[in-house]
Amino acid sequence: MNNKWTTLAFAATLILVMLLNFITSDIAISMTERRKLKPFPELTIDTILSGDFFEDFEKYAVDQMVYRNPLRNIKALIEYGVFQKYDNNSYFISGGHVFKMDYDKKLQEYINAAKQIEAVYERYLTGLDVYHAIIPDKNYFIRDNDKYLFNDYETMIDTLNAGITHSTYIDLFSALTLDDYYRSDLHWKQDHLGGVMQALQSAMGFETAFDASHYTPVTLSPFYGAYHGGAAGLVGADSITYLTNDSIKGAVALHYSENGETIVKDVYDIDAFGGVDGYDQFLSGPTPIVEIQNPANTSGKSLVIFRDSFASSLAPLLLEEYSTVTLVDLRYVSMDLIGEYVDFDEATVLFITTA
Amino acid sequence: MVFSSITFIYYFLPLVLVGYFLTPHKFKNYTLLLASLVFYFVGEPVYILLLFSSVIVNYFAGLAIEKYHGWIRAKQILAAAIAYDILMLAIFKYFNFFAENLTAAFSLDIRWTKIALPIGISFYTFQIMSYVIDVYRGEAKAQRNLASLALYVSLFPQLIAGPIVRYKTIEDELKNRKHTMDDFAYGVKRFVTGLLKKVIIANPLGTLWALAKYAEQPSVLFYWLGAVGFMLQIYFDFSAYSDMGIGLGRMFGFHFLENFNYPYIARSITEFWQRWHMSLGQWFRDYLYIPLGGNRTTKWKWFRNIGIVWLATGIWHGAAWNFIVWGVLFGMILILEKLILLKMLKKAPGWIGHLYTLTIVLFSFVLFNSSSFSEAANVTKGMLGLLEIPLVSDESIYHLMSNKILLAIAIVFSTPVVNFRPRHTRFNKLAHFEPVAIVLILVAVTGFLIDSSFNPFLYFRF
Repeated sequence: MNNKWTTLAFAATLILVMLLNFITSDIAISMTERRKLKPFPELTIDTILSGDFFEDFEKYAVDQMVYRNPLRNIKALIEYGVFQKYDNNSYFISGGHVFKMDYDKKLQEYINAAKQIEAVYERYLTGLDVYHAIIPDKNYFIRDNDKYLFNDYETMIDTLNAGITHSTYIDLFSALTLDDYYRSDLHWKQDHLGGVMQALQSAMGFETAFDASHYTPVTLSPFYGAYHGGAAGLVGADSITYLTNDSIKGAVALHYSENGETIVKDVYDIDAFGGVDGYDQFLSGPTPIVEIQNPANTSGKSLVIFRDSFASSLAPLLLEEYSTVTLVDLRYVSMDLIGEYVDFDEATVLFITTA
Repeated sequence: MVFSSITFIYYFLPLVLVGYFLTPHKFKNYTLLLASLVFYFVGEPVYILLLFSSVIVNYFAGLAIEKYHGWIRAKQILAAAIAYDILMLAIFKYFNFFAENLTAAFSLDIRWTKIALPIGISFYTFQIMSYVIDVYRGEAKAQRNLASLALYVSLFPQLIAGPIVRYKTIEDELKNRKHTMDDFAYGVKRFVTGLLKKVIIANPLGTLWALAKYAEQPSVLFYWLGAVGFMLQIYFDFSAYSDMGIGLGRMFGFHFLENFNYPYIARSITEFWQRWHMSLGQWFRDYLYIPLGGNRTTKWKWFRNIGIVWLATGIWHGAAWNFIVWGVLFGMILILEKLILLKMLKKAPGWIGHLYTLTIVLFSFVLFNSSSFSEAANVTKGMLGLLEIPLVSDESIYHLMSNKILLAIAIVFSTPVVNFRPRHTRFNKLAHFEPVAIVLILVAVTGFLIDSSFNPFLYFRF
């Protein structure tokens, strides 16, 4: 009798899942994993004989499996709960936040970063006021936890600073706490940047102190951060609160593309929030060079930021101080081309990157 | 196609099961043959022709051997068939190895096209050789139905990773076999147990070797962690495939012999090899060792026979020097055991035998799993503290602690302390939960398989 039920349970599970897979529509993009899912592979004689079709079909079958997200949750629960593993696919959860194991950064990376800043200085920045700051990644705030592995942040900062001779260092480590970061994402929250703005004001001599009451907070949700998929849904979605006012609404972001075209956009690209990465709503996400012009600020002051993605949410708050804020991402544009797009004349320069 | 894939579990297997059990009894073999050919075609579209040629050559050889039974011509045909089988193996499995070594040894400037290894060629070649040899010996009748012989060779439950099923083991079942609910349920339990062992235990254990090999903070502990992880992984991986093969066979009414019997509880290397990949050991015993004279000869010829068998065992495992050396080393250890060590081990406390066996097996698998001698030497030196590395590192402690439950489970279940193998549980109270357990294991396995594709891009468009 029992064998009958065992047989039935097995056969029913296999056949039911197969039928569900057949009748369920394919999904193009997984929002929680923030990636394209594999579509049905090309079926031709060539792809069959080469074996490519079958190889791709397995990838398709895995990606388009019914109940993919709950199944990934179950796997994560088994890893964390049954096996008591400290991480799942290098992601771990602590204090309601998701973190990514990233303990093997090489000091050489910081030596190279310092060399790059020096090279940019020699090429474009001689005589200008230059500052640099390091944004601590989330792991910095739980580095005292003996369970996990962390980078040696102090040595990393010392290594970077030792290689930079023409810039003033701004300490942001003491201006931030873990609460200033999204639970499911690596980035900081724009509405928690008061401490950062004060540190920048103090070092760079802003004429206007940052005042949160000058802005209206607007909240968008749900925001599935970059680490949300890593936690397999065990940490809920965040929401993004961005700060706006008439000055920011009146500003325009000029995106310079490699084909010479300039695309004009708003500072906050609300449509991008509905895309794969909700954080892209800040300055439309990764861009080689973007220049924000703020007609409401007539001071004529300009700031050039060499940056990574964190600065996308910081830059709008700097428009109160500067008429023009230009952001350059050296990962996407050659140093040789920068001079064609960026006006360094009398600009203040800030290098800001994540540890 | 592998058993532990979504394509197999949720597309191929349900379709084959439905098709097979809807097929009238006398046509079931054809359905199973078609399924097996599709199974092989999915993994090796072009090399299916090689499989066909092997079946056809040995089919006619078997008929001719039986026809000339007792005459010298039967022996000649057998020799020709075996020569063909070994030639195919030599070309498709070992050609690259021979070519590389010959060009290197004689500094030749010859270019050749590398030949891709056809999946399962070592397994099915040994199976088809056992067929013609058994027919020659009169231990099996020549198969007159080409489809039945093709089914024996290509039967998908054991096609790509064994166990090596001898023709006479399933000769009767190829012709006439029963399908019972008890057998099917046993097959289900065995298959699902294999999936659990492969996907949830073996695969995660496999990461430890790579972590140790590419560690930012290498340490003695890390090398041990990697080696022990691999030793457990290879057992759970290989025995899981055997479990799945035996289970799938049972669903279709075939009774394959066991392939593993808790090898890590062995108290000597001799006993270890009686418990590890038993179907391969039995094949070499019956078709190479005994024909060479076995142990019923002079002592030196006996040792020579052991040496030949273990050289062949090493070569069978892969076309690389580390496998050959690995096999020869085991041959030497087995000779030593027969000379003196077995007597000593029998007198010594049991734990000494276990420690001796596990230590040799552990270090042998370091050689087995290394891509070169220098890698094997490096890992061995690391384990023995001969590299300038610390005893422990934060990284090694992290991975040890993070994997402690997995390692503990793997160690416990590699022994018969808790029997992983499903028993007939008609009178067992826990048996009532078996259907639920089957579904839960399938769900968990699917979760692990699904998550293997998790590879997010933080900057999606770049």
